[in-house]
Amino acid sequence: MKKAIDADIAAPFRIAVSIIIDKLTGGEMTMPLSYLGEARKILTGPLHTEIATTPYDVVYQEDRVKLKHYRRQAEAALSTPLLVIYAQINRETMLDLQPGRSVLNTFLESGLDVYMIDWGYPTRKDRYLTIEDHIDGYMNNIVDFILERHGLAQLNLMGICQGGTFCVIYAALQPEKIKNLITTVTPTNFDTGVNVLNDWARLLDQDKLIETYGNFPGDLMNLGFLLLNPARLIIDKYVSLLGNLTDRDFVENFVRMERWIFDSPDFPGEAFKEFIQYFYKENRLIRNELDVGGRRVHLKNITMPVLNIYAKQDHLVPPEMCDRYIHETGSVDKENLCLDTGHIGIYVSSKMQSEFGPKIVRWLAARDDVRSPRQKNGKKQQARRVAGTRKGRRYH
Amino acid sequence: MPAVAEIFGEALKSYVESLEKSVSFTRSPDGGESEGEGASPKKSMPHPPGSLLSFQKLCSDIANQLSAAVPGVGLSGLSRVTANILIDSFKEEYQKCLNVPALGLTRFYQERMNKTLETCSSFQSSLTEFFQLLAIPLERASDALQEEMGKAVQEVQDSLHDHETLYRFWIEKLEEYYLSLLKSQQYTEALAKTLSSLCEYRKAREKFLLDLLQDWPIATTKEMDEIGRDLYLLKKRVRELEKKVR
Repeated sequence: MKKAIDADIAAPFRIAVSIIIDKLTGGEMTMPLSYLGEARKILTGPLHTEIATTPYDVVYQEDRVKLKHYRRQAEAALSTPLLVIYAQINRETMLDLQPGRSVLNTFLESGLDVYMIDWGYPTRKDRYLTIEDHIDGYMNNIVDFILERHGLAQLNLMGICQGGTFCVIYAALQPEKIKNLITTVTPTNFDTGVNVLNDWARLLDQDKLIETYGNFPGDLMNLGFLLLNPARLIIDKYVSLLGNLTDRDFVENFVRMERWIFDSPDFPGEAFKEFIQYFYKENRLIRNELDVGGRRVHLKNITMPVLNIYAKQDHLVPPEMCDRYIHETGSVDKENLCLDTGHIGIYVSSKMQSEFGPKIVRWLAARDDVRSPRQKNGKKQQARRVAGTRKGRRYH
Repeated sequence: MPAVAEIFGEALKSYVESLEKSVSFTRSPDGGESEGEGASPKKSMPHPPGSLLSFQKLCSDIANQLSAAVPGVGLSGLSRVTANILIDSFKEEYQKCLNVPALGLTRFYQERMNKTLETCSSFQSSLTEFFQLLAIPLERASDALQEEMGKAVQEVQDSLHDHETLYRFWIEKLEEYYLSLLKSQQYTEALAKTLSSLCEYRKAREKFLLDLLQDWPIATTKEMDEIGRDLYLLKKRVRELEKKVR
């Protein structure tokens, strides 16, 4: 595209197409037949694009919500099981994209006993479910089930993105059931002025949207995410694929990621309305003004050890949305950890496989001292205060 | 935008005149088809009046005049000007027709159909405005690219002639312009307006479809929602009672 193109109405689009074609063909306007032949072989041949292949058993189910228990791949290293709560945006399969890039595999190979909630696909009838129904209902029932199953009074809780927000609320409401709390890329402060998504959410008429759609459509949410960076997510990404069609690994990884990204369940209507209003518009959680099930969520009630991990290059949940809540908690064993990666990269990038998962395992292992069995009379043991008992705790 | 309307008016007027001339050229004074010498003036003209070429020239003239008449709008901004004219004319004329009171036994059905058409058009208008905004970074990135290429030619910089470098430059500019657009109040408002008009259209369309569905033995969304709500409340009550029993 060496000659200047005369300006006209369609010129920007023609220029865009020319630049892309020139990039892909080296200015020859056509791709070599050998490249196309090789690409055809790969695209029409067998591709290994399965995701979430780690074996598990469904040990509990309530409505559409399932509890997955993963089969451990090593001797038990910790006495306390870990419950992972994923967001209700996209699916928990992201933690297990492929062998070698699986946070779950890291946990299982390290001897952790891992449970994970699968929120399923909400249908129209789920539109009335509130945040309270999810936290006091599904989450609490699942926590009780695991504690009962293991004969314990406490478990380790790990939350991802908006699932982490639910974990923070739960830990503040039921601190006696949580031994250690881990939050990852978790939004808790919604008034930062640095996030485009926050500006959009504030202008959103969530009542009208939910009245129209019932639940908030996953596809609409995905479209919103794509519009956060159209140049990269709608153009550059696919140009990159077209330039790498002869690289089987690249194609397989690309398809796996696409399968995950566009597997977007709808968000239950009432819960969505509450989330936009109470969190994005009123920022109630960090101000200790949120009520769930008639109870006030006081962050000071979070007294167990807390590890809060977030990503420096996260455009969906930037560090400013994550790093503040830990200072509001009542815990003295708490750590903020900022990793140099993005919102998804923290779980799936090759580099993070040796940083993110292993860090959590080490952190939990250092705090897995004594089992906390149920008392004989059936009453659960009160949460032990661990404040000030650990060496090497960090404050940020 | 009176200047734009005037330009359109003048241009169309001249086109109609040229069509009239065309008729007089192709017909002999006694009303028969022109032949032989009578047709010679038409052949000698570069764009015979009334022909497709003539119409294309007219469009091109309108574009040039509009481009000169509207301050700050070049040829690439013409699509926005045209879209704005269409949106304004819809609001001023067409939308009013849909608000004419419906009468008689079927008045509610007519109203719901009109509402569907109105909200559909309204949504299309908002979507057009939204897409116009989305096109701005593309325009700016291609302008920046051409400017950079111009500089490169002057300074004999061969590096920019590399296709990969050109692409990288363009995509980075595009990303930069999109990020600045996305942070703007104008974009946020356009997005909110588009979503709002989409909701209104979908709601109106649903009500209209419910009218059509009522003759069929099919449960409507409204009915299913009512059952869903009853089920939700019942389940909640059962769970509370279960807790009390335990």
